[in-house]
Amino acid sequence: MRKLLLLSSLMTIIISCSPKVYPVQSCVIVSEQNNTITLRATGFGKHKIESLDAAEKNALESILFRGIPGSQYNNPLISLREDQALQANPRYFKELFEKGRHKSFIISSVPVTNYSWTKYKKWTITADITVNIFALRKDLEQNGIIRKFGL
Amino acid sequence: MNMRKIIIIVLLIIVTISTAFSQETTPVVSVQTVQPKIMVIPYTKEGEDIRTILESDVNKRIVLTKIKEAFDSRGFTTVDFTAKLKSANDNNIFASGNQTDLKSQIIQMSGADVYVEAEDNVLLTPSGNSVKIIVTAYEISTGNSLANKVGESNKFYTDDIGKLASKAIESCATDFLNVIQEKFTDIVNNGRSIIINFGFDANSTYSMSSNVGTQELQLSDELELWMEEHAYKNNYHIQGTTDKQMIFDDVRIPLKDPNTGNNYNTNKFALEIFKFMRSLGLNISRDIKGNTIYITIK
Repeated sequence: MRKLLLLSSLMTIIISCSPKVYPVQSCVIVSEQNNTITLRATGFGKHKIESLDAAEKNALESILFRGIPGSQYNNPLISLREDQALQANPRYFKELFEKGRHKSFIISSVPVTNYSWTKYKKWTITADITVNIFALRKDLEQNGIIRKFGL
Repeated sequence: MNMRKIIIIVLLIIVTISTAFSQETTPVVSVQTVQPKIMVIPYTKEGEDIRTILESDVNKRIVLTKIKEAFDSRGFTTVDFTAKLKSANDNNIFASGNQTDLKSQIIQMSGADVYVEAEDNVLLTPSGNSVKIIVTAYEISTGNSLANKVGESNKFYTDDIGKLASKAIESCATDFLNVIQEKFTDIVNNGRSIIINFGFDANSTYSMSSNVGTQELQLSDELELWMEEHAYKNNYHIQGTTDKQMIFDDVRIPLKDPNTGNNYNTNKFALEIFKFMRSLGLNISRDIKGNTIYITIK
């Protein structure tokens, strides 16, 4: 009984000391051309389609709120803080991300990995997503989310 | 005629009268912000003739066109440098000689608020040719740098330098415009920067240490207290004060009048200064050049 207790406490210590892995949805630049940018983004989801959709949203969110290092869009398209922007324009962002309007700014979405189980204990897929930045910026300007060029 | 018909007729009359005499609603016209004028010019070294350089070098013209194209794609019209140059030539405005002056004269006569200078550097090597472009945007009145970028075409086995120049400018144009836009947003939020130079007429009996106003404060103190109150968001910077001069090298003024919502400019701010100086019992003359106000106390 004593041995069993010792073994179980040892196991508990080992498990609690093992590194915790946090899921990361990566998003890096592949290429950029006139008014379009191709990003390699990952997405998590319960189905392949859901994962791909999450990857597309991840790409769009990176362009809008975080910027893409190493590209001409290293500054985010929206200079406001993400929570402020979402709070100020709830209807626009609800339509964009929840009602699938984000798809209208995506020119192509090509999976580059299989839909697979990861170390994050989630199903994921990575895809090359090409975004029409010109149209996205115009849309943001027309809806008053960002200011037009100038004063 | 039954009661129902009477009611309908009365209602119809009321509707007709109320429509006929109702006030016409005038649409609310939002005031359009006056946009800055931007001019794209080529970089020239000292002594270089800006006219011959631009006319003889197609690559420089390609660079300028590409930059203007980038502004156009963002819905912004630029002042055409070549057209200004031609009209200046036609009017014989410039005397050939000092070319640096020529550039400043064109900038001055164009009425531009911002100018973008583009320098291209062609690198011809056995391993391929490439072009590097340096683009810089300046605010003319204050000399503040708005954006700086270097674009590279990467190396290619081609003699088409124009194409390489296009690639170089494409590699940085969006980022360049985004940085300018950030500065414009800062201007919208924190006001436009102007310079105010207070000086004295040769025959003036006043100096910055003269006691003026009801509080009998020194003139320089009165000016600073006023500036503190009137600079947009209390944002001003004093370059220096001597007994004969006081320079505010960065005073922020709003783009729109906070009371009326109309466009606000340097002239209107100069008028405010004029009123304040009069309230102190001082007689002044004011000159405005671009975003600089020169106040001369008589």
